[in-house]
This record gives sequence, structure tokens and C-alpha cells, in this order.
Amino acid sequence: MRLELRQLGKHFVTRHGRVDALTGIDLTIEDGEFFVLLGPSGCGKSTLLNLLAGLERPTSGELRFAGEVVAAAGYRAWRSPPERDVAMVFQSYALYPHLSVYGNIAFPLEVGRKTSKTGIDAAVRTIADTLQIEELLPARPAELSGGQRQRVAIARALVRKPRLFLLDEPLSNLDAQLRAETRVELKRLQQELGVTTVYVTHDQVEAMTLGQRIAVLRQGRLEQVGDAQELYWRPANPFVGRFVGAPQMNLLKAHWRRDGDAVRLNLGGQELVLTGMDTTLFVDRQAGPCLAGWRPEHLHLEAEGKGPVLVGRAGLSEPLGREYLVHVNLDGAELTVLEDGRPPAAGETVRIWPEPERLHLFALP
Amino acid sequence: MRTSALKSLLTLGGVLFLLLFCLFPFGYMVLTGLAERPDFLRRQQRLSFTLDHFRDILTTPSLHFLDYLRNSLVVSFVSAACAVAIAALAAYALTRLRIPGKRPLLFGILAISLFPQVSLVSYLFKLMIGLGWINTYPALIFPYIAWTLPLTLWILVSYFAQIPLDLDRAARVDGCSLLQILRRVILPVAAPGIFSTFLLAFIFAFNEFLFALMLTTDYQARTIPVGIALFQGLHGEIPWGLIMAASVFTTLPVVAVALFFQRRIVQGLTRGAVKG
Repeated sequence: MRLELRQLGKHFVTRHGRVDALTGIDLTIEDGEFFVLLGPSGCGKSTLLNLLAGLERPTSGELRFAGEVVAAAGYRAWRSPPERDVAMVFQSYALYPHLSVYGNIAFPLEVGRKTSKTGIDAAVRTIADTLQIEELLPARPAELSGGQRQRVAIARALVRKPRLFLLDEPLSNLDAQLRAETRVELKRLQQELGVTTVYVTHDQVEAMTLGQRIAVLRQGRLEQVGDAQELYWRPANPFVGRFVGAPQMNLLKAHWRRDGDAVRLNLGGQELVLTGMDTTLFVDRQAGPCLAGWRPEHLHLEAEGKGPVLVGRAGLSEPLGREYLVHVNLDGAELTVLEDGRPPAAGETVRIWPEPERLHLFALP
Repeated sequence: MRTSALKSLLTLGGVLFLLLFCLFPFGYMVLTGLAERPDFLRRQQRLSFTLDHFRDILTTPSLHFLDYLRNSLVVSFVSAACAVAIAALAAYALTRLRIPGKRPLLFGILAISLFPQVSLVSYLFKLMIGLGWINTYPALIFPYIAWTLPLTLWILVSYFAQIPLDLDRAARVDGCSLLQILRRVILPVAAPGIFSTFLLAFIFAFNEFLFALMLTTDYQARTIPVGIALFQGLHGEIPWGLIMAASVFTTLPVVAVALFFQRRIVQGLTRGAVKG
């Protein structure tokens, strides 16, 4: 089902004044898409999910499901959650503690009253089979492990084949290994069922691996929408640059200007003349002060004969297993470099070769 | 070794003393009910046992003991059930809806329950006379509901507040209306708390004396506490044996219920028992 969000906004009025949770969200989510809302805590992503589910009313803009307005500001249109036919998985799983696993999964169908008893039974057993939780059906939620509760919550959400599947940080209560496994399984399940899915997370790895498209939110505003490649290679602003990708992108205050095909970059006394990059990327950027961004994996300590270099002083090195994360002091600014070889000793002078075509130039915020 | 033995001895002694202290009146009650003559502590009397008092209480129609018991059970059950039903709805609204002035409201309700019963009873008496309800069940049921409501409401509010809101939200998305959420999720999850609240309200109404004394006149509506107290007036002497036998019969159901549901009551009073 196609979702359209038009200038959607939500503010709360509290004792301390007005809080804008979401402002001017414009989004279209295609039928069958796996869409991820990514952002730090408090960015409004859960509020957006609640608006989609119908647990909250928008205070501005409107929301359409398959062309039909289901929510609009000022009570002009409203479809309650039962009318919207959406399903949701909560971070806390929110399983009904007084019902068995079977009762939990059957619950949405029994409430709906559209399915016969035998129909309910067949649907419950089918979805339990898909999620491999048949042997858990008689158990109570309290007897289950975190991973099993997770599966039951997903089964309960999917049993009635909803038009829209919402997930609110569903993996954050699982340990790392289980999280990775469940991630793969969720993706497979979503592709099999082809249900339109909106997934909320603060974990950029989850977002990148799961989402066909990802929306990055900050303080209630959309920062960028795109697939994982776009967010990684072409972040729209410093926030997205630092939020997506690990370890975080380096951002350095700089001055830049165009010089023919080259870009001249002045970083606190050191000047780099970079060539061979796609300068059309910077067409709309004015020369002058800016933020220059390089990801740690695009900076290299073995700089001999590769091009213009930056000179700094090595600090601590953090071993990450396959590589080291080397901290470098560059005239007072901190840089991190991802280095596969032996890390330099602290205090050593190092030369860094930044890959010119991996430069991100941002306007100063 | 010796100190630990002393410690456990002291603990045991303390427990025994407390137990004796608390149970002595009940023991005396049972003993007096069974004794042939109530003044068995006199030197010239010998203690001899009989079941006459218990038989008389159950079989003598003029004592109306069974009428009182029935009145008590009906009045207590109906008022407790109504109080819990109203309190459950109110607690659901107070914990789930955005109501301005929620706390002042709750404290106002608590303040109402602080009025001494005596200050209400004369007005209630006039009101019931005006309504023509004196000596009927409603004359007791309605005041009891009002009287137990603050207590039941406060217990249920604290109980419902512990139920995670995510359960409501999940039920809403799963297709429940607000009332269906209450019926299908909140009430079953809070069942132990609701049950113990019901028992508290029931026992309160079962024990209530002042309203029952003022608002009833005879066996058609009189409840057990008043009935037993007024045994005295029926015959010239004070029938201690009958009074005590009746008291034993009255105590038994309450004790039985408390023992039988002990676990649920303690559970209800001490913890939410609801971790999503």
C-alpha cells in the first residue's frame, strides 16, 4: 500500500510550553517497500510511527493510505487504528501476559470478528510455522526468552496480513548475535510477504542492511531520504555524514575555492590541492568557509607518492580486530584514520593521504 | 552458635507471643461458644462443652441468624461488586486518558473518604426515610458503594498504572475499541488486583456496623454485626453463648476466603504481577 505524508507535523503542548515533535514531513513510501526511519533518540521517529498507526493525531498536514486520507490536521479526517488495518511490533513486544502464545497470535483475528474459529486456527498455525514457533503455542509470554517473544510479537502482527507493518526498534532488546540473525530473517520475511513496512531504529547498521530506503530524522525534521549507498556516499549535510557510517566521518573546518579543475582546500594552515574529483558535486556550494568531511576509511597513513598529504601527530590507536582506528592531531583538530597495517606510535609524526574523490564539502551549519 | 540459638529462640518467642495476643479473642470466642455456661471462669463453675449454642443459632427462627447472614452476604457482595466495577472504569479513565487536574481529583476523592461516618449517618437516615428505603437492601448498598469507592479506586489506580501503556497501544492497533481494551486486556491482566480489591470491599461492607445499625430496623435487612450486637435485647439475660457461636459462624467464611485466596490477596497487595 502506498503511503503519502504531506507536510505532516505534530506538536505537543506541555506545562513547559509547546514541543514540536515533527515538522513538515513530506514522504512517499511505495507499495511493498521496506522503509526505515533512522535517527537519534528524541528525533520524532517514534512519533511518526504512532501517526502512521493512528495512535496519535497530526497537528498539521495530512496522511494518505493508498490515496485515501486517513488523518488530517484539525479533525478533518480520521481513521482509527482498527479501521486502518495496520500492525505494529513494539520495542517492549507488548505481549498480553494473560494469554498463551496461541491466544496472543489469535487476538487480532478474534477482535476483528471477521474470521471463523477454524480460519483463525489455520492462520495462527501457518504464521507460527513460518516463524518456527509452533512448539511455543501453549506457553505463556513470561516463559519465553527475548528472541522467542520477539518472534511471537512479529507473528501476532503478521497473522492478519495487514496493509502496513510497523516496527518500533524491535531488535534493541536482543543480544548482538540474535539481532544479526533476526535482521536477516526480517528482511527475508518482508520480501516473502511483500507487505509495506516502516521500521524505526537508531542503529545505522540496522537501517543500512534492512532498508530499501532510509529517512534520516533529526529534531523532528527530515534530513535526507535515500538508499544506503546514497546516504553513505552522498550525505546531504554534516549530520547525516556523521550519523551514517561507522566509525564516524571526520569533519574539519576549512576554506575552499575552485581552481580550474582542482579544489583548493585550506585546513588551518595546511593547503591541499585536490584533483580528479567530480566537482559538479560542489556546483551549488559557494567558495569560502566550509566543513570538509572524510570518512576514516578514506584516509590513509601510507601516503608515499599518492598525492597531496596532511601532516599530523599520532595519538592513541584503538584496535578493532581487522584494523586500527588511529587518532591523529592535526593542528589542534582531531582526526581518525582507519589503518590496516601496524599503527604508528603515539607522538609520531604521520602523513595522511586523503582520497580526493571521497571528499565531502558541507556548508557551515 | 549459642547467640544464634538465642536469636532463634527470641524470634520464636516473639512470634508465639504475637500469635497468642492476636488469636486470644478468637480462642475465647470459640471457647465461650462451646461452653455450657458462659461464666465458666468462676471458681464454683466447671467447664463443660456443648454444641447447643451452635445448633440453636442455626435452628431457632426467632434469632434470625440465617436472615442476618443472608442479608450480610447479599449487601456485601452487591456493594463490593458495584464499587469495583465503578472503580475499574474510573481507574481506567484516570490512568489512560489525558484528564486535566487528575491529581487534585484523586486527592479530592481521598479527602472525601476522611469524613467520619458519624457525620454522615444522621443525614443518611433522613435521606433513606425520605426515599422510603429504611430497612431495605438499597439503604445499605448505596452508602456502602460510596463509602468503599475511594479505597477501591485508589488501589485500582495504582494497579492499572503499573500495566505498561504499550499493552494498550498494541491492543488498539490489533483492533480493540477503548472499552474492548479494558475488557480484553486491562481487566484480565489486573485480575489479581481486582480480586483482592473486591475482597477488601467485601470484608469492609461485611464488618460495617454504624450505617447498618441506623438504616435497618429488623431481620429483613439487618446485617450480622448489628444482629449479633442486638441479641442482647431479645431475652432478659445476655446470651453470651449464642453471641459467640454466631460470631464464630460469621468469622468462618471470611477466614476461609482469606486462607483460600491468601496467595492472590498478598500478590494483589504487593506487586503488579504484570511485566510485558
